[in-house]
Amino acid sequence: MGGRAAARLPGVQHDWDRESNRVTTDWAEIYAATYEDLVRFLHRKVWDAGRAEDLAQEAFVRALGLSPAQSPDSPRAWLFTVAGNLARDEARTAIRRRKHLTLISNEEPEEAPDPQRDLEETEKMGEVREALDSLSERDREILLLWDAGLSYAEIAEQTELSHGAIGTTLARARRRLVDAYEATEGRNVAHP
Amino acid sequence: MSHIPDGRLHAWLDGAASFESAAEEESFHTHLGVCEDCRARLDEARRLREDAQTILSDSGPEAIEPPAFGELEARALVRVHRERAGDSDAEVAASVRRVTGRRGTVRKVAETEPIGPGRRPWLSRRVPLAWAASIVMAIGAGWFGNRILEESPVQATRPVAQSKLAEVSDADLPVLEEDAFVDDASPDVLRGAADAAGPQPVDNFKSEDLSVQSEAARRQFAAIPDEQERFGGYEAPDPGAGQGANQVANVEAGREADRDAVRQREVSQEGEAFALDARLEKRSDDEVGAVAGNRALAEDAPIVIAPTVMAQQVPTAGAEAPAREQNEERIRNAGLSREAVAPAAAEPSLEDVAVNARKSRANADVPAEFIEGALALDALVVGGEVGKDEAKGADTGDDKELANCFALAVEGWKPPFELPSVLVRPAEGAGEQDGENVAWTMLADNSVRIRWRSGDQTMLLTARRVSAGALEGSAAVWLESRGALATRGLVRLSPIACP
Repeated sequence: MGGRAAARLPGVQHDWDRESNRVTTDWAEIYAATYEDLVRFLHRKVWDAGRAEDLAQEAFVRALGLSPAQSPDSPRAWLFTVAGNLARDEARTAIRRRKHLTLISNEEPEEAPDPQRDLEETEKMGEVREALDSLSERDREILLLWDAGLSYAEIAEQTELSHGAIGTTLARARRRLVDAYEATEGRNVAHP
Repeated sequence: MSHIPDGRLHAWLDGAASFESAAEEESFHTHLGVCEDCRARLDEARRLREDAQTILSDSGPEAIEPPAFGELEARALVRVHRERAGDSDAEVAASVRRVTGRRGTVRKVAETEPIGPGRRPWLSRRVPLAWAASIVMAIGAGWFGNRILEESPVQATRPVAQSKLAEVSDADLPVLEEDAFVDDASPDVLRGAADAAGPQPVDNFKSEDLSVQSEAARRQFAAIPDEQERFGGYEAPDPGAGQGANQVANVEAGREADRDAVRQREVSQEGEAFALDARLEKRSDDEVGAVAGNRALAEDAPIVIAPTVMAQQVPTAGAEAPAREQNEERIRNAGLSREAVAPAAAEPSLEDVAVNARKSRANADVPAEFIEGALALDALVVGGEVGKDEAKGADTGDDKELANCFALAVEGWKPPFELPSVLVRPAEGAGEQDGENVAWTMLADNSVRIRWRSGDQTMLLTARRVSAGALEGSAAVWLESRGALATRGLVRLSPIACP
């Protein structure tokens, strides 16, 4: 992590660790404030709610394994970096995941499925996914980080872009996402 | 002033526009007020921003239920334990990679971690020693096997085998699966590795080692040493035990040594089995890892009452002597006779006998069955005290009121699956009931430990008697299919009429 000052969340308690001479982080507070954002961020990378939650939890477990001396300057940016890397690894082990999903598919669902609702959700998710896939990797990453609630400073730290470039990239990414989504919707309406 | 760039408009809408001076900010707003083009682009930027937000929000998971933070802390704790043990399969595999220098199926270890914090240099120092120790065992066993072969009548076959082994090249060496190298991967892989490795030893871990600051977290971790004592029987491994491996650390330096090791392992199945047994023995000691996952207990590992718990209750002779002397002096000072002060020695009740016997296992006058039987009654008695009636000379028999069936209620937490509403104590302590496996173990401190399992659903419950027949305690529940992922919470057992 860089040498930036610690990014402080409102209400997050930061203690001073005398031994390591560093600010330690209250991960419980960060967990409460960030977990859902992290899951949403990961969901748009792996497109599986269960896997997204697993990866988010894994990121927090790793964070909890850090000693005070290893405590990152910007905990949220650190979490999203680790989570993003985990998701990338997840994609690389797609074969293993497919095996896993095969096993899951053999299990009985907990609730009776609603075919109509499932179909609509699947279609909507497919359209969003297609629209996101049309973006460049960097545009998509920055857009998802912004949507997850990270500040421009945190996004800049994670992506190593300058603060000023974040707005430009976001402007481009938003336009492309909306255009691609509308195009996908129009295509589906024309050819349902 | 020239037109405002789109990026700056978006940053301003996001509340992240930075201005070097108040004058620059004022100029920005002034321009927006007079430039219709920029205002139109600002409206467009606002529309795009809202649309993008709507699109993304439509694709998210509907309901996200964060697990209890303590659950993640428990997982982190277990992981630190395993890493400190230094002998997980993934770590051994990573060591193999370092020794052999093989590529292709090996992933980058640091790929999922940001550069800097997160890596543990002490871990990488320990792993080679573990691998070196296994090589030493394999070589030693191989040498032993060779000695046997030399003395056996089938000695003539050895040169043939050796000549074949001499032809072994790198390409012939067994290629390890990719999974074996993934020591830093997704939870699935980690769970798989955890399942394969089983519970790992814990060496004097302190909860302070984790960066846990919340009060709830501290309480949760503070409870763990107590649990470790409950599971008992664990002795921390001697940290110096593996130091002998230093003498063979230079084995790592050469690939030739690695090839030799593989050959020896192929030749000597006996050595392989020995090494495997050594690892299994090490793991069987680890009931502490069961604090979060309790995997060992779920696999029918024996549950014993910890000798350390008994030892704490044994009063020492040295502690009694000063008190006796003090009492004698008080009698002398008061000018009283001993008979006038000292109460008549009461006939010890059977309960006292049982308690005393419990305090000192050296008491050979009391059969072990009686001690355990008395202990077993403690937690389940709903009327009177254990052995009271017997002490009064009453006809004892079965006059103790025991509860063998309890209604189970959880308090303040939600288990990940439906727990049984009624727990019935099997006559033999353990047994099958309606497809569920139940085992009851009575503990010395008016407590009972119950393990319940149905399919891959498992609960380990420890409850202490709080009133006549009512027990309170905590339960850890988990799904076998999800590895060591465990949830725990308070439970209450209330006696009911057995169905």
